[in-house]
Amino acid sequence: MSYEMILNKANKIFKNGDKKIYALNNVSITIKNGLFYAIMGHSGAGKSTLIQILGLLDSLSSGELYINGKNIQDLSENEKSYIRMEQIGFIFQSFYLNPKLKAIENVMLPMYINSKIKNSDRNFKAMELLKKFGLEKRINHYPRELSGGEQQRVAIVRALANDPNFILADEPTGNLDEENEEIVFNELKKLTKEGKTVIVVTHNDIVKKYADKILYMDNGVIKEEL
Amino acid sequence: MKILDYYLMSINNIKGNKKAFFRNSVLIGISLSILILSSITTDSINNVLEKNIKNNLSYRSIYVSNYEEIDQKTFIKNIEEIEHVAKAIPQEAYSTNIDIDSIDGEKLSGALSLIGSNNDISPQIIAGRKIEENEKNVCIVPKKFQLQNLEDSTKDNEIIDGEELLNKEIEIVYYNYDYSNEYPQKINTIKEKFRVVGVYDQEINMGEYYECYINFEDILEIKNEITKNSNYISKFDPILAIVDNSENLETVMNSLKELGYNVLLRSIPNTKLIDIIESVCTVLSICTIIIALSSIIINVIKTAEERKYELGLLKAFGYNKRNLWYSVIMESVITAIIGFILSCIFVFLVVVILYLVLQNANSELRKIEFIIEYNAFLYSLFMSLIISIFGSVFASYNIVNKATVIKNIKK
Repeated sequence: MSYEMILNKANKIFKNGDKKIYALNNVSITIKNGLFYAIMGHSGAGKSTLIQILGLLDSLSSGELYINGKNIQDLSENEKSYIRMEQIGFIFQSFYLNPKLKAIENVMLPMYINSKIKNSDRNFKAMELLKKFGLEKRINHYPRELSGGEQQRVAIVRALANDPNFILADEPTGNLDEENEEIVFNELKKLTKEGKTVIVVTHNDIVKKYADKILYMDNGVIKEEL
Repeated sequence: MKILDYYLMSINNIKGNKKAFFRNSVLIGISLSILILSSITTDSINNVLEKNIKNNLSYRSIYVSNYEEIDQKTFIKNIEEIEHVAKAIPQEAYSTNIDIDSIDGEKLSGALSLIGSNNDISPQIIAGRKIEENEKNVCIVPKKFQLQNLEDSTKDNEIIDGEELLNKEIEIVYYNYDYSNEYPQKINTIKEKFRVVGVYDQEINMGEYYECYINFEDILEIKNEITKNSNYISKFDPILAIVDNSENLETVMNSLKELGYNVLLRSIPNTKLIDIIESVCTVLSICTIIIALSSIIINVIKTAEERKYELGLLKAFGYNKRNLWYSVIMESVITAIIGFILSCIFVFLVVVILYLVLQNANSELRKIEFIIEYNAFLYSLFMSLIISIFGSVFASYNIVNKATVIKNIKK
């Protein structure tokens, strides 16, 4: 099965009094399997809105979104939740790790609602993933005991907890130094080699080294596709 | 997602919010403890009162007066015809205080209180038997028997085991007086023996250690003997109506009033203190429940900002509303159960300490028996679940139900 996201004539409109603001303006794109997408553009260009729409965290004002052939507009909230759980992993700029949970417990959080992962397997699977990302010595560490780069790697591991096909990252290197930026982008690139699709919203030009496709956005419109 | 998953997840969340969890559990524990202790206190006090009324003759005796020209026998007969009246007696036949001469042949000095009895009106017997109708010179003694006003306090002050006195004789002594002088003069000493036929438990009966029961007729005869030289005659002396059961007091009082008699309870149990204790306990319980509930809601609202992004993140991971509600409710249930367990431990400790204190207290306090109503525990478990679930659901409603994922995760 080919995993893909298709956005067709998508609009997202915010209202400010009587004024309509187009965060997405007639956007049509196809996100293909196994590629690294970078969405770039200045602040307010609509990058984050696009990633939230693709991640089913927000809904379109008009237009269509298909994920693996399913029209998302026809789905209930519960069905969208299920797709988020099964198909999409999120990485945020501020990592959003639960500060009161250990690295392994943070990774296990998305697994609880996945009936495909048995109770007994959760711990093992979380540990294997952390090891894969070089965090085996940090398994029982709390976020405050980890460096920024390590925290973001834990967040990447957490995004992979349910083995999704799409990884959506919103400014994943925004809070990292240069060395860690490279590490994170490198890890994300590796994921595409495993067949996963990575979509990264960023201002960071380093991403160009890793991206298979770069989408430049301005005023809610994709101006250029490289 | 199975219940076990919610449980495991909740345990994870609780681990992450240890302080709030501990605070809420302790709050619930304290309020439930007060609730359970209130129930134990009121039930125990009520139990003492109930025993007092049910077993003690005094609390089911009514003075009945009649100022119309009617002879005493007819008056007594009229009263005894009323339903639930076990016996009507002249008030002097109810009881008398008397000196003691010897017990089982051994000379002793002290006093007894003799109270009227018969087969129908008798304390609960724990050994031997009751006094039969018209049976003379027999008595029932308390299990722990001790004379009143002893002069020799070394040996005689000991408590005698009533059961050891069964079939033995107690000799009493009283006097005839000449009332013609300014002060009554002893003119004749009368000694009379009573065989012990029964033993009662004075603690259950709420009686004193020196209260013995003899036939009403015996009491009347002793009283007549003591006062036979006196010129005092009053045809308006009240009659004592003894009711078969304290629950029928009100009914008998009303029937007597309907016949135009003046009625007055011989003893009125002082329930004011109990009423006050009950009210205080109830108010205290309600207050602590309100305080616990508001504190939990305040605590949860206070930590809502933190939880807001936690729950928002969970939504991003694919948790639906049902998953989130179940997880919030599961955490509340765990908090409630821990609070309930804490309250049980606290109540157990308080009861044990109180028991030890009462065991070493005076005899009146020793009569208090702890009545632990297990329904109170079930009720408090229910309350604990309600408080905890309601508090959490109220505080998390907006976060779980209304806020979008983005709104939640944006700090």
